[in-house]
Amino acid sequence: MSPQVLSYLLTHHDVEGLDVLPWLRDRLPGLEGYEHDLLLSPLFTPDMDARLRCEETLGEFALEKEDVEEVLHRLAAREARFELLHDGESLDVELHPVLIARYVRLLHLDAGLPLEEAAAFRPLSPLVRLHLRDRAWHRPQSRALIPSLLGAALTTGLDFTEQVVFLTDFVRSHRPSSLADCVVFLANTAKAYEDDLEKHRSGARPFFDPELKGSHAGKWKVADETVARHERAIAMARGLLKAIG
Amino acid sequence: MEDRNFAVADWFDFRRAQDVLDAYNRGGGSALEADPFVARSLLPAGTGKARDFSYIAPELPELKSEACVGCMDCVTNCPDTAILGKAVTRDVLEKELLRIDDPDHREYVRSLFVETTKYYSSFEKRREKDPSVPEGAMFGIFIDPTKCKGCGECVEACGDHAALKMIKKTSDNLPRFRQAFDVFNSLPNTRPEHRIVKDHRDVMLSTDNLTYVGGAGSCMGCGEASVIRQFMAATTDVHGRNFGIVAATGCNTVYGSTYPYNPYLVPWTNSLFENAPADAMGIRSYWDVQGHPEWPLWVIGGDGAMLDIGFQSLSRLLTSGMNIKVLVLDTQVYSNTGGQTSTATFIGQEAKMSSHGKAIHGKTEGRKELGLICLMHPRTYVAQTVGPMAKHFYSAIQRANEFKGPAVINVFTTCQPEHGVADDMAAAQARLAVESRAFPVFTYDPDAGDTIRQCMSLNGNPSASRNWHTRKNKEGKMEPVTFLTWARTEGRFKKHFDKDGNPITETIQRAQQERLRNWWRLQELAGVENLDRKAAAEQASSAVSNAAKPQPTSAS
Repeated sequence: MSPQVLSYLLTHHDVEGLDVLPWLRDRLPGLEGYEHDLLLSPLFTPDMDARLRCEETLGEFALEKEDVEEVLHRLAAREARFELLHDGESLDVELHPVLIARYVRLLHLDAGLPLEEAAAFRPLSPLVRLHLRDRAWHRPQSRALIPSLLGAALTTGLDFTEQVVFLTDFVRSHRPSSLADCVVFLANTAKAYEDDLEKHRSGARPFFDPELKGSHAGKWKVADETVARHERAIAMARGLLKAIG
Repeated sequence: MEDRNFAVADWFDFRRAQDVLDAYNRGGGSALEADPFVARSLLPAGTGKARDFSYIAPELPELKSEACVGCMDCVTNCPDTAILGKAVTRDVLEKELLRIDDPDHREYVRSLFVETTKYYSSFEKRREKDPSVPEGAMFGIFIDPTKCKGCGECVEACGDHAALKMIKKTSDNLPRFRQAFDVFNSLPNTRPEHRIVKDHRDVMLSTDNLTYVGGAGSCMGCGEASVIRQFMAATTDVHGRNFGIVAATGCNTVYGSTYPYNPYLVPWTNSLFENAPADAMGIRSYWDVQGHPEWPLWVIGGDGAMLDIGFQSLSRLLTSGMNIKVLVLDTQVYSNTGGQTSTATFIGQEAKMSSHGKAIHGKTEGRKELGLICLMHPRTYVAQTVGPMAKHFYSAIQRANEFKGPAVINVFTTCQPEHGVADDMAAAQARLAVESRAFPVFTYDPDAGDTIRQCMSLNGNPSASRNWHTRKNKEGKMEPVTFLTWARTEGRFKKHFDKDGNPITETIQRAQQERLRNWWRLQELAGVENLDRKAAAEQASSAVSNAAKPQPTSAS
């Protein structure tokens, strides 16, 4: 049981007698669907590994919506169970259909790949396919940019897959409608990261009250991982900008 | 100036207030003419709403609505009223979407809404059997970019739901956030029937309850501000805006009353560090005489004000039996003056006046337990809690408001610069403080019985009948969550550990023992049998009786 689930259980349900597993054994079957969702959904959110395993099976295919319904139907019919571990003990629990539906939905089994636009870049690795199935690329304007953006990514000398991940986030967050938009937005993104990096390096941090700044300035340090992440984002944005020309 | 009428009604001269706010937003506040309201220390209510932080905050949270379950944890834990949720029926949503000219933006706003099980499917399912059940509502999360400071607390609260992610704010995506938030404001308030009564976090689903409007100057991710928001929403939900706050000087008065920005929509006053409870006793008496005994009156103060400088005043208030509630924002340090030791500071914690040196390793005195002291006062309701444990927290506030007499809610609140933790870690560190017994939660309701154990509850603490809670570590092995587990994650204790996280001082071991003893004391008071101590006692007893038995000799 993850800390998030345990915390939810302890704070949103009156766990009588303070024993978590006995409470779950007695009360979980009586909870409503939405309560299962709120309590256990953190455990039924597919992580990247799970999605990649799924991608390896799917290949370039996508299921029809009806097929996904059929998958859900079959899984529910199996009366699947799972094991909750807590404090060294375990509990066998029936899996609520709501959780099956969430997990399957987030696998994006019916999200088609933009194969026509990405034709020049095939074969697509599982990680690239996984990102190209993202809803961000389903927007027609974003989809039309795939040949130019992925083409640019091939010429930067940076890792192609990493750039596809960066571009997926970029088109989702900035919603460019043309290559001209991309040039402007990438330049502004790079500049924003560069400004942040300069502040991080000088030790400056945003404060929202001069008195509190006086009391606390200099006591925070930005994590090295944040600095590294920003540096990488700048390299991506600048590399793509140069490649797009 | 002499002609100006200083009547209370003048506070609400919206045009005058707007001129002042505009000037400050432009950085031109010092060019304004002398203001009689400043001279009288008066601030209009809710002016924080007009403050714009969008030019400072570096990042914004982005919603991936398909993963959202409508738990409201992000809304609950935001310190700045910058992320809000709304549930509306599909036809209401579609009607509003039609007002958006740009089809691309319309699709974007539509994508922020999702059919959750909580607000949609569960209603539709019940409706199949009972047509009087309201139709399901689409749920959406929206960001107010003028209030968001980019701390990332909402993303951390969302956790493994993975529905939120921080993104770089640029001049290109900022306008879209602004426009989307305009849509949020245009949509009608969530209908009361769509609130899930059992889920306390839904108290913030009604925008009417957001009486802490944001725009305060608190630091990024401030744990105090989140708790104040929650307390405000819970109290407003029951009493509307008919309650008042007496704030003791501290961080909360610094970020909460920087002219011209006031984040509160209820009457609020600040006098001194040490006299907030006494000040409140005067107001209570006046309100009672005026015929408003039902209006709740709250004192807010930090540990410096309530455990140290104003402790006597607090004790006097509790002894008086007056119907006044006290919210203690326990950061275990004087946050607003730069981090001096208070009596709430933990053993081994590094703070000003308790520096960690060669001979002395941080604070040496034990921590004062305000909650325990308060419950020994005549008929006082006491709760020790943390904001992110929403049901525990909200139930405590609700009970305090109902209780006819004094109540104290002592809340662990993260102070990022003084605790040495990341901006997005207020909720996580507070939860870990509970899990590790650094700050156990409890409630003490004097009306629940005749004995302390009848009145006291440790519900909310994990593995409450054990010394320590255990959980899987990153390697998948079960391990206890001790005080050291928590201390290792906070910069204020870092000198007690080597680079591999191993404890290297006797002081930090002593701190752990002191926290364990505090936990034993709570278990004893609440009548919770500690199975680990029981097993240890049985083992010791068995060893003694074995030693007392005659040993077989070679002759026998």
